Amino acid sequence: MSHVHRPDSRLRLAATLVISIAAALTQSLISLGAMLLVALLATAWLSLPQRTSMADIARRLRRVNVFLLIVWLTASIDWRNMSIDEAGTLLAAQMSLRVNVVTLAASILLRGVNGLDLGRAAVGLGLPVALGALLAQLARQLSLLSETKARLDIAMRARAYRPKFSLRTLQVSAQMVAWLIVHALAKAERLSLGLQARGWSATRWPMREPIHWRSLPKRDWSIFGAIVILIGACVIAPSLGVSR
Amino acid sequence: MHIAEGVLDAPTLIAAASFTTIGIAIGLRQLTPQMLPSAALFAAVFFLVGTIHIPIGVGSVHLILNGLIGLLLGWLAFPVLFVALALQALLFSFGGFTALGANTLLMALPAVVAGLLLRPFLKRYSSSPRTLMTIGALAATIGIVGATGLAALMLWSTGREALLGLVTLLAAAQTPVWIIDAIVTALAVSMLGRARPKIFTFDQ
Amino acid sequence: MTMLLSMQDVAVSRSGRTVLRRCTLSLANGERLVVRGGVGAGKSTLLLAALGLLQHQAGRIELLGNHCKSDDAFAAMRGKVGLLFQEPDDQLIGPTVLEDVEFGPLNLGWDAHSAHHAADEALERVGLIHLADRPIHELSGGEKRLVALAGLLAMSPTVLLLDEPTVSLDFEMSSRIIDILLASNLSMLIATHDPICLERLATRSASLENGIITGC
Repeated sequence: MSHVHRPDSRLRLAATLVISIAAALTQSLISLGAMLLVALLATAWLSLPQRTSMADIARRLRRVNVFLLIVWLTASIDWRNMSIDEAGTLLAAQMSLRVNVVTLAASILLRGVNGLDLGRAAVGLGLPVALGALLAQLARQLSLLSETKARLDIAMRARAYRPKFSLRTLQVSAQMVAWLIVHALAKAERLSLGLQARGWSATRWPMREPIHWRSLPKRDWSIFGAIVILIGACVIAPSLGVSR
Repeated sequence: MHIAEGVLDAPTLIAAASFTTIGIAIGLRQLTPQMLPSAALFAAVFFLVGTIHIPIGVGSVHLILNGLIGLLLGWLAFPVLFVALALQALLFSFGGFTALGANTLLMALPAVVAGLLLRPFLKRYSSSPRTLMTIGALAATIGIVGATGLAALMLWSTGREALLGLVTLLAAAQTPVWIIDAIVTALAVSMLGRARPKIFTFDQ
Repeated sequence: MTMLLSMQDVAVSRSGRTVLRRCTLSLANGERLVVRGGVGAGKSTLLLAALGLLQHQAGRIELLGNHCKSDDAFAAMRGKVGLLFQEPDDQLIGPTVLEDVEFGPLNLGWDAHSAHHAADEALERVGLIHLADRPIHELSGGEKRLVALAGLLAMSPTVLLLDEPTVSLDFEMSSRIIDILLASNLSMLIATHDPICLERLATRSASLENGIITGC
């Protein structure tokens, strides 16, 4: 978020889940359309001061909408009879709205959250500690291992390797996979020793206790509450319209 | 082969999530804090393997190798793939969190099946490269065909006939992925057998 | 006389930071040019840019008389121009020593037999033929660096670029590598801050400071 204040990750994750679940349960195109409108406005409001983050959101949106285009082409048109398939069209429309709503919502709400934050937030929401610790460790190890892999990629290019559509490329890729596994396990052994040397007894999960719900800033709760109310309004909107 | 969040309907998501929860629970029983660094690194390997691309014509296919993960990890594949997919969802929106149960299931269940069927043979034949290659190719086949089948099942459960066209298209598109994964897994398993056969008994 | 390697006013930035400002150097046949520079001066960046593994934002690079700008142009030169990285662990991919040394020749399109032969020869030259079937992870740091060097020699290079070839090596291993380099009769560009390298290898030297090369 572009504000200086960064809301608690746990509430951010909870808000993302609320939106995703609401979208998953809603069938009405009007509700979903309203949610999309809200998401777009929120994205515009939060992102305009920061142009750079738009590129990331744009990339994610492009990828999902290419997929949705394929869904439209396969589901809404009955190619055998060359006619419009109504059920398919409805489904494609619902899917399009849902996918864009949740992609936007996750992109803005979880911006700046890294793997470690996510692990802690999820554990705070009830995920088993073992999984949270695993996720946090993954985030940490991934940055190191991916740097090493990037350096290996450069070194292979230095020795005239170029990926092509050939058996040799598959062989080299297999070598790379084997290398990654052997390398990673050797690193894991060293890491274990290193952690134990620093007093880790390998009987607990290395994860901090989450902050108690009560001590979260009121402002975070208000933002969370506002989101829930907004989404709820979108869900109820069509029924309000009908009764009039 | 990630199913984007918002594609599957609620009943399908709930069913998939339930099965995944069971799978993770079984996997976590085998996970001790001591194994944490290795398990996390396997997840990192799966993550990075997905960045290896094989050019095909104007496009490229990226490796999946869930069969290989199952072969090396057994039931641990569930928690390991779960966290890898969760991080992918966070960093790239590959899926999202409500679809995490479904995406984990379609990757991890075939992986576990491949592991259950083929792991016993790994140790026995770790000195025979050709057998290792066959084991690897079979593991990849179970992995990719299984994942495609489960994805197809989930899409069908969401949209019935309306999504049949999509399912057919996706299944056909997975064919090059399957062939490439099978070859790479076969070669990789045989290389691992030569370099570090104790990898085949990782969780013991 | 055509220069084997020529860099004119080359500038390179990494992650938004300017590492090389204005680098001009040339390497003639038979020369061994040592570029001195402290840690973080950009020596690795210089060598990576010379082979097109990092993009240069300004300037002109010529390898073996060919102007190189696109990755295709650089790729055609790799092999004839070899780069020895500072950290062998990042560079060795083969499960065994022999397979790793064969990697380069196979990339150049040589058939399995020729590649095997070239690898054997290269391992003889660095004195490690007895380790040909050893898994890489069983080697010491110095042995790994020799394997990496063998991997380059197997490609029959004309020029070698070397990034800190003697760092982290004990005196005996350092001397061994320097002996091998001298015996190879190849022209080379060496980035190092090791005074022994400078003394024994250099036919000429320059220094890299603040992103600029002086003394070349």
